[in-house]
Amino acid sequence: MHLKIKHLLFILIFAHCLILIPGNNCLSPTPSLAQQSKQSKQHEYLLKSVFMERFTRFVQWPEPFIEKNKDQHFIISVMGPNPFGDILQTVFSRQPIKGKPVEIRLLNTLSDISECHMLFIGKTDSKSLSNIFNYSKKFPVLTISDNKGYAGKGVHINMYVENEQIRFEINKTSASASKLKISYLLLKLARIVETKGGQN
Amino acid sequence: MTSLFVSIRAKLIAIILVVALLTIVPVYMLSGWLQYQSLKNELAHNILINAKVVGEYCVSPLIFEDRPGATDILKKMAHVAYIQSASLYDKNGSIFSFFARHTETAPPPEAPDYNDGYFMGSTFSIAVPVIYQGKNYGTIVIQAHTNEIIKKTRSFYLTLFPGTLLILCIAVFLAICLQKQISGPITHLAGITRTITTQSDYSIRAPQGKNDEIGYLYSGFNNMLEHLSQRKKEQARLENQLHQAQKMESVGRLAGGVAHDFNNILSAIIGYAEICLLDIDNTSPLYENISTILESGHRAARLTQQLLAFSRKQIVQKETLNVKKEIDNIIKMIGRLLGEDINISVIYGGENFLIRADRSQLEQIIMNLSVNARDSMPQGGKLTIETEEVIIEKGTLNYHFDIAPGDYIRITVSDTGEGMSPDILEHIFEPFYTTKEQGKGTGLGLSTVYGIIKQNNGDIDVYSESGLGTAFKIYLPRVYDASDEESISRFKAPMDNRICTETILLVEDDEMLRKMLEKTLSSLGYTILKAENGKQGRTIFETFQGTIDLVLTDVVMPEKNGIEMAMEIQRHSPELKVILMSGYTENAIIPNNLSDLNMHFIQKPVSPRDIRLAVQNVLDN
Repeated sequence: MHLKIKHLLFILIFAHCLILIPGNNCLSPTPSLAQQSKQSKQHEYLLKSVFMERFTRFVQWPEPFIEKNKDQHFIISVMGPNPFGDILQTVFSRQPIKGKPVEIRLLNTLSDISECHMLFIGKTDSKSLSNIFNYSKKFPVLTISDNKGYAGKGVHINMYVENEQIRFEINKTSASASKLKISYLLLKLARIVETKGGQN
Repeated sequence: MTSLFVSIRAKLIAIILVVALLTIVPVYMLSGWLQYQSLKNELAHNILINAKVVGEYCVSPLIFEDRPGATDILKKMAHVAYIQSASLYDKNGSIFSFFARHTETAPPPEAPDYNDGYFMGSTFSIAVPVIYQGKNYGTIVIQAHTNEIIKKTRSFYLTLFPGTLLILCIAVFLAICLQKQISGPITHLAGITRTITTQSDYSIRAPQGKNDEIGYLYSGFNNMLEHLSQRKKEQARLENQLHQAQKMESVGRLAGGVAHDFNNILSAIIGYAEICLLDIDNTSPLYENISTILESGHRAARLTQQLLAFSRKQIVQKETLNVKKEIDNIIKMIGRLLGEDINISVIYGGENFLIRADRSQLEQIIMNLSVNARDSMPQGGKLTIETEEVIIEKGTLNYHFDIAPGDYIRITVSDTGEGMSPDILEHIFEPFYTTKEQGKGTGLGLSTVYGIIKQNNGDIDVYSESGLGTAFKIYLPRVYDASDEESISRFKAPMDNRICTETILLVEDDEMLRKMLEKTLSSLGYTILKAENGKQGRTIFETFQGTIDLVLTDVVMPEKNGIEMAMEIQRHSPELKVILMSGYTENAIIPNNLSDLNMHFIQKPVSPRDIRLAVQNVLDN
């Protein structure tokens, strides 16, 4: 039943997303990628971290998972190379998610994934990525990345830059297979992709 | 002003039409209005839903500040025909995204307050918050045109119009058909009324109606007609009765007038005949002739008495009579008269039935009716005389009788004779009307009875059945006081060989009679003073030197009547004795208390014997 409703919602959202035309004045000030300066890179990741918080507004974690971490922090983990530097710590030190203070963890082992809510996956090799996905899909963990093609590989939300704007794509297959509930309203703004290569 | 004639049919149709119009048109208008209202509500509801749905879709563009995405969503509103513009505001109230069907439309820069939608002119506006998971992200405002609704309402009216017209036409048709149910009987009744009034035919009746108001109207109308015809019949009967009474009255007047003069003439004939008889020997051949003249005179006198009785001008001496005693006496007399073939039976309803009447008149009534009964039973039969007490109550419809309410004694004289036909019954009380052979009856018998009864404030009713018999019913007022029963004295037997020396004043306008009276009285020895009228009589009384013992006067005279004169004289000489002579009472008031006034009365025609007896009696007392 739950799956069925989700399915329907996806179809609905898909129709909307097809006609979603990107504007030219999304978040301002618009970062200029041409400068390639460190400052502009920092700005891009600042926006991405803001986006990450906004994603959480459209995602519902299952009750026991929340219960387990009751009165605890909302844990954002980063696996692989961390492109944010200390931006995440800076941004989330003042910005709670779902009324909880945010804890940023940098992970080295797969088993640590089980405790986090959101997992940012840095640029890694295909084998590691596959392992991460295989492990993380057992838990209600929202996987986010900003590498080209990662959405097709199974990450839930993959951010990318288009016309100097940050946009995102959502993997319909992995999102619906996850233990998370992602609102159709988020899908409306996203580009929908499906898992390629039969990983899932 | 004469009001225009509008038939009840037209009125009914008009009423039904007006009622139909007054109900159908408002219903028509109301249904249109309701339709308009429901369309408005529907519009408001639709737009509210649209606003909420679109608002929800706009949550993510608002969160991710995706203005093109929001505009994209708002543009979808173009599919909804009546939506004119949609604007999205962020949570700070600044315009975020806008869509308008017509490019010239500009959005209000500031977000309006939230509302559930309102109509202003031809525009509907609504402003709803954009809420996601209990959090407010902004406002969405939608404006819609109501032209569509107006157009729809108009088309609704147009669709409904033929139906409404059809219903109205049906109403008119039904009105025309159904009004006959109501107006038909009324129009019919009006037609009957018109026929009755134009043709004066009161025998026409309305048909039997249904059991409703019109039915009652019909039966009431018939009842009224019934009453009217009865009244008409009654009126005709009363008119006839009045006519009859007037006829009797005029005949009576004539008879009375004739009788008055006859009395004087007869007095002279009888008087002179009697004087002649005194003068001649009874062996003389003239004696027989004069006796015959005398006898004829007496017969004529009886006839005038009857005429007077009929004309109610007879001087009566009323006394209280016991009906039983009187009838007993009369039966003794009439037994012989009726013959052996007639069986007489008398039934008394009571012992003490008293009436106030003249004894001889009562005798005459019973006698006349009995003789009539005998004549109707030539083969013999049964004569029944019955007395009863009857109370005629006030207010009871009693068209038979022309008498006042009160207690009455009814004397019924019935026979088992031939009876009479209605034609004859109509005339029996008229004088000189007779069914008997010429010479056998005078035709005055029943008219005398009638006159006497009327004179005594009574009435007579006759009931006859051809071949079975006739019953006369006499009603006479009952009295309860027996004080003066048989108190009236009659002149006593004459005292012969009396020496008559008294002086008598004789007042009589009829010369012949005066001479006869003078001759009679002076032959007896009285001194006679003569006068032609009351005035002259009084003068003589006042100028006469000697004593006048008695005044003998006629009542009806020119100049001054006898009673007036006698009363004037008596004022001077109260002891003076007076004898009044009259056969006729018109214009003369004969006081009831004659004996108290020291006056006496003698009925005309007077014979010398009568006058002698009267004078002697009065003078001796």
